[in-house]
Amino acid sequence: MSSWTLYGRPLTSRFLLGTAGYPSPDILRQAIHASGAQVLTVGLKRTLAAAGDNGFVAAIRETLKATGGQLLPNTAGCRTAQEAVTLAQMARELYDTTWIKLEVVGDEYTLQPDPWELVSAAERLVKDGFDVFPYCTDDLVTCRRLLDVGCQVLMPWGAPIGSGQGLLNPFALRTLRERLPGVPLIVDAGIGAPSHAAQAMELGLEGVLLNSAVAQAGDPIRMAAAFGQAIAAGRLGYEAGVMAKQDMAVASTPVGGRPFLIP
Amino acid sequence: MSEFTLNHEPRPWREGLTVAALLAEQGRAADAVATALNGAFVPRARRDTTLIQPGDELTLIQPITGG
Repeated sequence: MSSWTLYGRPLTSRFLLGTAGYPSPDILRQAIHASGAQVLTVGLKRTLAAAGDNGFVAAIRETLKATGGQLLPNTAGCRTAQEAVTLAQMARELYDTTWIKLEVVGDEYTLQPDPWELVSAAERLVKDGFDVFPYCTDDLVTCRRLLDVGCQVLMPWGAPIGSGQGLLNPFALRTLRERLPGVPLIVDAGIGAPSHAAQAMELGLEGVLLNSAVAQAGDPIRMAAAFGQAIAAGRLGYEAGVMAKQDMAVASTPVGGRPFLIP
Repeated sequence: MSEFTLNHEPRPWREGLTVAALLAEQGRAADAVATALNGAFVPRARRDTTLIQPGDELTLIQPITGG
């Protein structure tokens, strides 16, 4: 599979993996290894008790140390640009990275991103030196605005977060691919099955970010491997060039007329 | 008695209390949390000189898993 870069960082895997909701730190650790993912998303929460998180974050850090991967903190739970900017600044200090997955939700039912707050936050964060990965819808104009303010990567949804519905609007994603050539597009959210991820890659998107589909699988470790293979296969298929669809059958075996003439 | 809030929980306030002093009282390592006062980020380097005032809202954030 061809290599690619995100904000100047070369990567070979096109699988970005979320780290929430795994049954145990050890299963998370094994799932990361099985996935081959080089970018792992992490979060932030308010804390009062001195108790830790039962070793999950330590497992992530240990795994990254071994693989040389990259953390991608998120701003989950933010509803305004100001909240997201503050949380991003806190994430940069805690995780020692300028990478930020920017989430600013505008609807509680769908967890759909708020485009106005998202663009506003992205503009401020880019000016502050962040490498912004905006979680956005598949709306072309919103995506253009995010690029205008300095985002170099876009992360359009496939379906609402955690829904597992797959790509609800392949047309919109295909349009993004055609209208924004050269921009790394990563499908983020809504992926449920490995086939969904392969479909996204066959459309020409550069990567897939998912969490629940692996964490909630009966066997997260094997599912992580399955997604890794599906994403690689989808990308290889895209690079190889998927054949054009046709309405009618076209014989694949080259025969010269009918082989037998039986009266 | 004057109070401030720590992650939405009321705490007694005292004159001269800094963000750094509060973290020390809480037994938290400086690099284990990030801090914000009234919704604005307070970098580690400014915790020593950032005074908490009555009515302030101090937020402590720690790393967790995430999607």
